[in-house]
Amino acid sequence: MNTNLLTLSNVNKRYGDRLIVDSLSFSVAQGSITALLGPNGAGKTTTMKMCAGLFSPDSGSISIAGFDLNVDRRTAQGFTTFLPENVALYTELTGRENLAHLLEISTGIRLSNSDLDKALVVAGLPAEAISRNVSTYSKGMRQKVGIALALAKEAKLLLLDEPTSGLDPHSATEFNRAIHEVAGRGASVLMATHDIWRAREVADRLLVMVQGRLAVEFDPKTLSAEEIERQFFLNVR
Amino acid sequence: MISSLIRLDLALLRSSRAFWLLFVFLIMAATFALIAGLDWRTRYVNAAQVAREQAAEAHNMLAKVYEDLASGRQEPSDVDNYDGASPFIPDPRDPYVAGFYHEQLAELPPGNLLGLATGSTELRSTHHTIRSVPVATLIRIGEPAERINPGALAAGRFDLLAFIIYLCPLTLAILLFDAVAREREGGQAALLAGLGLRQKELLLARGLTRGSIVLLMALIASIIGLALLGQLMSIAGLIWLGGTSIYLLFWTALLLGVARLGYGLIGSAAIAFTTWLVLLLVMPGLMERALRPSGLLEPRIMADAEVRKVEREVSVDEASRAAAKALVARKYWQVDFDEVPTCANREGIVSEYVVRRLSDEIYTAAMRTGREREQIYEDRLDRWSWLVPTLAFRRSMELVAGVSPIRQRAFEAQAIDYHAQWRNRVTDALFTCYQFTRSDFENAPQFKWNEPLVSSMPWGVMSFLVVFTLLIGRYVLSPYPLFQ
Repeated sequence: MNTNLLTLSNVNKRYGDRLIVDSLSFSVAQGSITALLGPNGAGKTTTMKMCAGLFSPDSGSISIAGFDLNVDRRTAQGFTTFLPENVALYTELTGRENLAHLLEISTGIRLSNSDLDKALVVAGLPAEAISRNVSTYSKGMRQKVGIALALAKEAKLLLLDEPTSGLDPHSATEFNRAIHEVAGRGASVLMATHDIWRAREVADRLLVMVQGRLAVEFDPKTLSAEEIERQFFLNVR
Repeated sequence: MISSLIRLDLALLRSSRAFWLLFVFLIMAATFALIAGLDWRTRYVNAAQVAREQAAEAHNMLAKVYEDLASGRQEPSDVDNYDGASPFIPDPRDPYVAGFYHEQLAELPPGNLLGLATGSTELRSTHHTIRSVPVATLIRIGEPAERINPGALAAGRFDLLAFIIYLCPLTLAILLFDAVAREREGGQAALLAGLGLRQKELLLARGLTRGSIVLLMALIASIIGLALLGQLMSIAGLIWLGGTSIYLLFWTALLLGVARLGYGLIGSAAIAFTTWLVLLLVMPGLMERALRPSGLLEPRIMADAEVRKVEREVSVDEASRAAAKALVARKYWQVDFDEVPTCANREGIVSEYVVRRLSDEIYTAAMRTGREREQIYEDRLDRWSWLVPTLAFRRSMELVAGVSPIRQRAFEAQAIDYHAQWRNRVTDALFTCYQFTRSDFENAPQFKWNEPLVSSMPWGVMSFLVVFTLLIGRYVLSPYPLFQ
């Protein structure tokens, strides 16, 4: 049985003459939270978008739950929920309506209002906000709708691109709690971030990307915060 | 998935104030188009009725003169010695006088769908009062007829055809631009792509939703219009509905294709607007200009110029005038003018008649030549207008509605032929000393409108639109990196 939910094998991606992702290989185990760290321009977002199936690598392969994204894109995407840095919901609709429509588009499932509300509350959205237009939501609240989508969809893999950037400390902590909620239900999480401290708090495994390559990998449980920080900046420099 | 996307789009549209404003604007525009069209149809029918009543009144007046002459109650005025002061009592038996007073009416009946399309600016008189004396022939002098020509008055006005051709594609362009560019710029397209949605599904769903709304608006307006005209289940009505559907499907596919090309808010808007502008406003004019034969003038202008030229020539001196008269007599009536029977030997009248007849023959010939040249233009338009679907659709639907220039020209040609037929009767009577009888008067041939065969153009156009729609649709649905 394959315990790795996400596997990247020798993935390359080039924009024009510039090599953005260079022979990248790693995997994400089922039920784990993996953080992809790196400075700006390291190729994190490109990697996340390739994992989400938004575009294909120039070479190499990405498989999700054993399904190659290049071959069975629709099936592979069925296991994932991708939340970009700014979760762009439909501002004309309420949080509940957004969740209902996105879930239906994604899975074809139409949940009752109470089930939708339950998912939103579990994701951490205040009950009073559920029926409000998303235009009144903060960035953190929008992300919680995205998390609720992953929960309702029972996604096996949650891909998060810079999820905590721009969040205040309280919202970031709330967000971490929601991530653990998802992981606690058996889903894997891959999050791209340059916030090493926040990543260390939430992730089981830290991968550092530099100039499109995987530079180093840490286990936050075995290294002290200071050592991780020192190693990170040593590699990034 | 498409149905889910359509439900989402409907929810978005429901909560969009801009959409509702646009929707209300469309309803108001369609209502205005229908009211304006039906108003013009009513005017046309009323004016046609007035023209018929006037013709009947003239007929009754002459009938009374015949009765008075037969009973001896009245003596006609002597044309040769008329003093100009007393009331002129025409003698309808006299061929020359009859030429002035035996009026006939040539009427182009309104098309069944007049009201949905009021016609292009090329529309001409729809009623001609036909007299045999050339100078009074309204074929030549159009102004009085124009006064009772509601078809011409209505020409170029806003109607349902304009609504379908101009407003619907523009609305569709705005709605599709809004759907595609806003979702792309706002990031929702990327979110949906991350959920496994493909770009073709998103575009297809947005196009289907918004295209259906616009198509539905146009069809509902058309159905109401057809019902008001009592033509809902007629062949023309069904062709109208079918043509409208195909045309708007074409526009939906075309604008989806355009949306595919657009990268970014400004780019999509610019491309969509440019497409609308080029295909609706610029291309038809360019096509018409390119296909118009060089030197093609309005036949009436050509004919008038020819007549003025001849009139100048024959009025130079008595010798050339006599030569012209002799030429006309030999050419058109196969008579030697010097041997005209004495019964018609009223020198001044016959001489005047000959000059007028000469002018009329030249005018008619010039009109026919002009129409032949226009026919070349029409043939070219039939052959090439499919390259500009907007132009082709307008021509097709005007044909269906019975307000096309083709129908107008056919009417004018038939009116001219009828005029020639009536004029020849008078001429024959003049030169054979024949007096018109009451029976001749009552049994004078009436103008009969023969509906011309409908051009095959609409089917070619529709086939082209269907094929083009499929090709664009295929292009739209092919993969491209919308979500990158």
